[in-house]
Amino acid sequence: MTAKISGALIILSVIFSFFTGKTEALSTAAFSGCAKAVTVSLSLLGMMCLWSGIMKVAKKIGILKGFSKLLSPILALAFPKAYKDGVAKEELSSALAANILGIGNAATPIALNAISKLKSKDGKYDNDIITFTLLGCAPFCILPTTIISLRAASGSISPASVLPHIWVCSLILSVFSIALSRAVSYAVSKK
Amino acid sequence: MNVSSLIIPFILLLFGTACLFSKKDLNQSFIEGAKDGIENTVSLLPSLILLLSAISMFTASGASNLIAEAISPLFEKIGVPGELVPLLIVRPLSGSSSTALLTDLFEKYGPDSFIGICASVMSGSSDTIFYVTATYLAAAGIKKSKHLLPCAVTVMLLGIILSCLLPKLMG
Repeated sequence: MTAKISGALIILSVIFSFFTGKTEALSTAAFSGCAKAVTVSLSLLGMMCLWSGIMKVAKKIGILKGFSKLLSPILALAFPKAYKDGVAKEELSSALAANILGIGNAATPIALNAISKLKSKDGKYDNDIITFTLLGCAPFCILPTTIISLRAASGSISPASVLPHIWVCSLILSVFSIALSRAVSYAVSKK
Repeated sequence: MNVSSLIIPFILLLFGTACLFSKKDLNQSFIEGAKDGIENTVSLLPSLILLLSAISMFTASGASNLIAEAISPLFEKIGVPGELVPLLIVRPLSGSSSTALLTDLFEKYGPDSFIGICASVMSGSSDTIFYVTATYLAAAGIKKSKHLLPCAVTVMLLGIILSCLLPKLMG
């Protein structure tokens, strides 16, 4: 999947660079791009290490059970198979909670943690993983601080005025994502 | 000071308190969790590096500008201002680039203009779908996920349309 996306991007980049005349910039980016990528990867490694550890400790002292009780109805709706088998309930609810609370960067390790619990040799929970990924593409967040701060810094009269719009939009998108994923996996399984 | 910025300090406080005062040996738990985290990440690093490099090349080639010019008319027809098209091309690719573009749009058109508001809603309700999809799928090791990307793009398109529709409807 990554190879397909990357391959497409690279082809487009090369073709377009001929039109824009930026072939040199492209070649430079081919080398500086992977160097930058390593920086990002190392940061991710550090974050994963710390936050996976914190999550395991949280699990051990039982805090996560509260989250999973709270978000149970959503889990049942969005991830039917995993919910039925009682798999990764705490990890999934932590990931959802992390997105809702808007802790941005720390949410990625928590999400990857949840996915690692869902993956299995026979791909039993793959549909739930797909739903989870779709939800990750349009995360519902109560307080998108980056955007509000940017608006305030650019001199907006009421930076937070977009909040209701963002809530409605991401709520609709989240519901749509769950529905779409379940519909598509149902259609695929019928073939 | 708002809720979001207090949450992480709060979590850290909880964590520190638990480690210091709990009767159970949490050192072991932390190490197990951290080791799991590292293993998961290391296996997805090659894919991640490939994808990020490709995105870097895409931005450097100026492709996004050309594509923006080409598809602007289409988007104008469904109510999306042409000025937002570069943002919606970059948004699924890179978080930092889209933040930079958002700031740029605010400077040009003002954060409270129609364009500024739509751009804000678009940025707040979507994410870097290519990065998220690639990372999550690589972590999951799923091979057969042909329908994921079309679904993600569909959700993204819906988000774009809603971002420009909702401000008109809700005011």
